[in-house]
Parts: sequence; C-alpha cells; structure tokens
Amino acid sequence: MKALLVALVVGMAIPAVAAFLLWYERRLLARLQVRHGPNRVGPQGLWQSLADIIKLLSKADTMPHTAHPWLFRLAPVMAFLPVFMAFASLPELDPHMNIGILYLSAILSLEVLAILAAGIGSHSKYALLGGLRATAQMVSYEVPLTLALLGPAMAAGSLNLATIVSHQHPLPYILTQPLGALSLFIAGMAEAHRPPFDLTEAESELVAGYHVEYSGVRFALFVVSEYAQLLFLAWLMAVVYLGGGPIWSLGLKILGTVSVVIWLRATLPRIRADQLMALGWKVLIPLTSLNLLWLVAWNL
Amino acid sequence: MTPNREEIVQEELMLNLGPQHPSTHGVFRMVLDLQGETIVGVTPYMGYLHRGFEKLAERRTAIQYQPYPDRWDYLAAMFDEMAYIGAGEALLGIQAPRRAQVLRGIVMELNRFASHLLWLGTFLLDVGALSPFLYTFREREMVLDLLMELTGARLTYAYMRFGGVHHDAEDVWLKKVRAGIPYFRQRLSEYRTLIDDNEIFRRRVEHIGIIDGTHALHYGLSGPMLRASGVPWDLRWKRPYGIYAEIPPRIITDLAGDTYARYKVRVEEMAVSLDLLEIFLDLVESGPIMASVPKVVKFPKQETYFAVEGPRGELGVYLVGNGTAYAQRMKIRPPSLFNLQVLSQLLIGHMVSDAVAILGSIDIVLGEVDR
Amino acid sequence: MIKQSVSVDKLIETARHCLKEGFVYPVLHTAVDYETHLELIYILRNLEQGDDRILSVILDANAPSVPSLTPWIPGLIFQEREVYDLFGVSYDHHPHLTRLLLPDKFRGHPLRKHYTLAEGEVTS
Repeated sequence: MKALLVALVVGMAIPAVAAFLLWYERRLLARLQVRHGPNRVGPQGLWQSLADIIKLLSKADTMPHTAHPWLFRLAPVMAFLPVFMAFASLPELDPHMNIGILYLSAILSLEVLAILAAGIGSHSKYALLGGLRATAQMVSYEVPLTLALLGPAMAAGSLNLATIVSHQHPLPYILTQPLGALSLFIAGMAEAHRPPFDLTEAESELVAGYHVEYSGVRFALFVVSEYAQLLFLAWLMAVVYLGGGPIWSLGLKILGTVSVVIWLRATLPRIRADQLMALGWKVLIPLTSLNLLWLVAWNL
Repeated sequence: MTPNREEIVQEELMLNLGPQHPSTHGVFRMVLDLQGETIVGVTPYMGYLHRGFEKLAERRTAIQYQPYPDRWDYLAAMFDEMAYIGAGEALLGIQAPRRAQVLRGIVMELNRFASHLLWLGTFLLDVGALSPFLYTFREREMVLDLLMELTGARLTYAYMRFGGVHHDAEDVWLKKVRAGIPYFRQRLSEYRTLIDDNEIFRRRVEHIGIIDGTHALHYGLSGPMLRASGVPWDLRWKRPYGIYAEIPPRIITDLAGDTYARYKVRVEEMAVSLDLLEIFLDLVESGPIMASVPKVVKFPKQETYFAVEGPRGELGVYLVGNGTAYAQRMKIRPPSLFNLQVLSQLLIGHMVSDAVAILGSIDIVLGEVDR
Repeated sequence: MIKQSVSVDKLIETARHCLKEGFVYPVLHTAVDYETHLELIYILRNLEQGDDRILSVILDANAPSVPSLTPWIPGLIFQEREVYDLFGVSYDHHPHLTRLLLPDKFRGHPLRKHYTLAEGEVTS
C-alpha cells in the first residue's frame, strides 16, 4: 500500500521536475546565447512550462488518416512508460532493488520501440527515416552505456545502486574511473537525443523527426518523457559516478550534470549520422572496455 | 526465408526542400533524388522571388531607378548600388569626388562585414550550432546601427548617387567606425577560436562539396567560391574601381576547394575588411561628396559593363543606353546565380545532412538570383 | 572592351577560338531587344590577361534561334535558360532548356519590348 502511494507521488512529481528542467534549459541556453529566455510568465518565467503544457493539452487531437491506428496512439505512451519505470532503480526511491543496473538497462532499451512505433505509425517517409536513424542511434549507444555502468558495479560488487553509492567513500567513481564516467555521460546524451546527437530532431530542418505528426497531448507526452529521461540520466550519473549523497548534494550534482548537457547544446554543432555511429562503436566501446580493464588491473 | 538479392527492391526517394527553408537562404527549392542516404540527383527551382527588376529599369528613369538596386541582394545593398551607379557613371562620363569614393569604400566594406556575419551565423546554424547565430547577429546589429546613422536605413540605403553619395559622414560617425574596429576584431578572433578547430564542425565541413579551380572558372564562379578553389581573382584589385585602385592587394585564397575552405576564406575576408576600413578611414579628406551632374540624366547611346566584388562574388551591371532617360536594357550579373550552376555537382554523392552545409557554403541570396 | 560582331553560323567557331585564346571565363550572357532585331551579348574573360571580350550576335526578332554554347562554356547553362525564359530565344542542343525564373506554364516572354503587363503577351 505504501509502495503504491510512493509510486503515485513519484509519478506525479517527475513531470513537475521535468517541467522545471524545461524552464531551466530555456533560461540557461538563452543566457549562453546573449538572450533572456522566458522571464515573464510567473516569477522569473517559472510558470512558462506549465503554460506550454496547458496549451499542448488543449489542442485538437489530430492523427493522419493513413497512420496506423494503434501504433500511432501507442507510441507516446511507449515513450513515457519505460522512462518512468526506470526511476524505480534509483537508490533514493528504492534502496533495495538488487538488480538495479540490469533492470534499468533493460527498461531503457524499450524506449527504442516507442520511436520505431512513432516512425512507422506516422505513415510518413520522413518520420520513418527519422525513426530509423533514431533507432540505430539508440541501439548503438546502449552497449557503451551498459559497459559504462558495469565498471562501478564491478567496483562495488553489486548491481544495486544503493550499494554503489555507499562504496564511493572516500572517492567518487568519477575520479577512479574517469573513462567510464565520460562514456556514461556521452552515451547518455546519445540515448536521450541531446545535441550534439540530435540529428533525428534537428533533421526536422530537412527531414522531419519521428514525432512530426504529433500534436497536443501526444506531443506533450513525448516532451515530458524526453526531459524525464534527461533527469533520469543526470540522476544516474550523480549516483553512479558522482557519489550520490544527501538530497541537497545530490540535487546540486544533478543540476550540475544537466547544466553541462545544456552548455554542450549551446556550444557544439550537430554530429552527422555516420560520424555518430563511428563514435559509438569505434570510440566509446573501446573506451569503456579500457575502463573495465583498468579496473581489473588496479584491483589485482 | 530470406529473399534473393534481386527481390530486394531499392527505390529512389524524392526529397523536396523548400521553397520555404528553415535555413535562411530565401525562397529556393531543390528536389533531391536519394538512393538511401546518398544524393544521386539534384534539381534546383528558382524564380519564387522574381520581381522584374530588369524590366523595371526600362520603365523608370535613371534617377527614379536609384532605390531599386538595394533590393537585388538585400544583404549587400551597397554593392548593388555601386554596380548600378558605377555603370551609370561610366556611361555619363562622371567621376565622383575623392571624399565620396572613400565613403563608398567605407560603406561597402562595412556592408561586406555585415553580410559575412549573417552568412557565418546561418552557416553554423545549418551545421547545428545554435549560439554563434546570436553572437554574429549582435555584431551585425552594431554595423547596421552605424549604417543607419549615416544613411537612415538598415538594409536598403539608397546612399549612392550618380556623381557621389547622398549624405556626408560627420567626424563623430567616422570616430565611431574607427572605435568599432578593434571590438569587431576581438569578436572575430573569438569566433575563430570557438569554431575553426572544433572537431565536430570540421568533420561536418571538411572534404565535402569540393570543386577544383579549372571547373570553377568554366562555370563562371566568383567570390569566395572561386578563391577557395585556388584562383586568386578579386575584382577589387584585378579590376580596381573607386578607391580600391590605391590599396595594396589582399586576395585570400585556399587550395582545398571544399566547404571548410570557403568558410576559412570568408572569415579571413572579414578580417581583411576590417583592415581595409582602417585604411579608408585614414584616407578621408574634406571635400565635396557630389560631382556636378546634369539636371536631367539621360543615358547616351552607349553600353558598358561595370562590376564590383560583392560578398558573394562578381556583381555586375550591363547597361545599354538609348539617348533617353530610360535604359534600353539593364542586365544584372548576379554572383549567386552563377555559383548555383555547380550545385548538382557539389551535392551528388554526398548525404542529405551535407546538402544543407554545402548549400550554406555557397552563400546565395535569392534576391539577386531571381531579380 | 572590344565588341565583336558575329553571325549566327560563325558563333560556335568564334567562341571556340576565344576559348583557345584563354577567354574561358563566362562573365555574362544576355539579349537586348531593339524591336527590329535582337542582339545577343556574350562577355568572356581571360583571367590571366584580365581582359574582356564581347561577342554580339544579331538575330531576327521574330524567330530568334542560336546554337547553345554550353558544350564548350558550361557556365552559360543558366544564362541561356534565362534568355530563353525572358526573351524567347531558342538554343539548339541546350541540355535542359526550360524556363528558369518564371513558372513552367507561363506564356509569353516578358523582357520583349512588345510585352506589357496589362494583357500578358501582346501580339502587336
């Protein structure tokens, strides 16, 4: 019963935090670009995300009439669910999940299905192309992501994220496994379609992204799941490599990670599809493997 | 049961870009034939911005036509004006006084700097970097403010006249221009630090869209497109006009001929523009800004071709007079149109993501392509 | 700038001669409507010498037609299309002679002197 209540509260809190991140990104990005960012709607523009979401929720429900009836409708939900379910592995929400890393790895990989469903279900050449590219991107970066998580798991001797946190005395794993931290950060950004790995969305300059045909509630679900995923990955990074800690310290670490991600968005151009694949397979996998070897060698 | 190779059908995908682009090149349309990711065919469509400037020149007197050239290439209006006024002055046998020539040089180089700033921002936006667009526009606003203070307008100035220029520059204004130059220089070097060696940027733009010098010549390319392929041709020094005859040459070339080379040439040209501005400011003397021009301006029964080196290349006007105030024919030689002729060759064999970068590196303005 | 008068039949020969002399850079190509006749202008440049040469071809105003120079001077593809579009001059052996600026279905050639906006193509 208590678990159900916690789940409900967390389920409602996450979109709120995601909305906050949306505001934070827009303000920070703006400041980096010599602009103000939203600062009118509410104190410092804090209600902007709420206003945007209300707008999205009040839009007419459209669907291309050639779209696949249930793939199209299911895709936003399929995008939303795995991210939310992944939060269950975080030590602050459930310290007893002994298969933590295994669970989150498996659940996050379901995200790919949502994108495929959106791409195919939209019945549009461009959505399909975007969807296929996104799929290739996410699948490729799952391997380095998992390998990057394996390092701390091995060091702590457990897949339970709470154990990993408690083993980070005196040094957080970012200092003892820098390669792994870097790889998790990069792979995480690629998984979350963050710039510079955002060719599937920015390709909407050329070819529309996989969620081009979506509007209103369905689109809002995609947006929320995107920021929830960003939040999750930042939290994961904070827990696995930055040492977790009391709420205030954890919050700062998460915000710090998110800020770096936003900073990269402001600075870097977009990476091309084939260069992205090359980076994932030919650079990150060797890096993470090196990290593991280093760990083994150090412990011998 | 896996299908045989012959049963796997590959279709060409036709991708339509435009006429409205998120990448600010104007109303230009291209249809790409794709085989998977690779471009196998390009068909450009233009004319969406055709406004009949050449026909209009036959229906307006020489003086009445003066506001029109600004609107050909609206990002480099001073060059449009110089081309038209230069052609007219050649036919009329008028030479502008020295102060006017120096002022023309100053506003042209300011305009070139502003045009390249816009190009830089949008080019980087095409490649995916969001922020430089805002930084370059911040600088551009300053240049536009300077030009507005002098001429009254931000983009379409109607500043040059047959025989000189319309507004004199006050010393205050000249001081402002001079004070701005070190600031712009510093910003330019910031951009180079951020962009030039950025790994992701270089991978996106190096070795794509290559054209070699001989090819470029045969297609009539000009400006940075030509110079980035190794051909040291710049009208400012090869066919000097106005004040440029007194300036030692600074022609920027690059041998690579790819998109990155065009980027480097333009950025270097921005630095050269700033240097030229300083030289011009030193050359300012007091004097009249208009020569004596007959009250009724009639083009004699002669023809001439007058060209300037605009930010995009050779911008020329072929003017045929017939003894009346109206031109018999005025033909505009637009650099962007010639530069577009090699579009399909530049794009074929590349991927869709490269298409936008390459198109951006050509730097076209539809106003002059379509006229 | 020397303006050289060329007859239609000698056009290709003269152009190739200019190319041999180094005038390979196409500066401009257009037409001028003098009502009794059309004059085609080609400006070619020799970048080494920095010199321009103008070729002028006089055409009959009613049925203007020339051979295309694009096989030898590829930089004229768009210019020839433009003259076709706006003046109605037809170019033999042009690889893709379609309108450049006006819609494909447009009728009339606006830069001709007898063309006025009021009635579209005016046969006067």
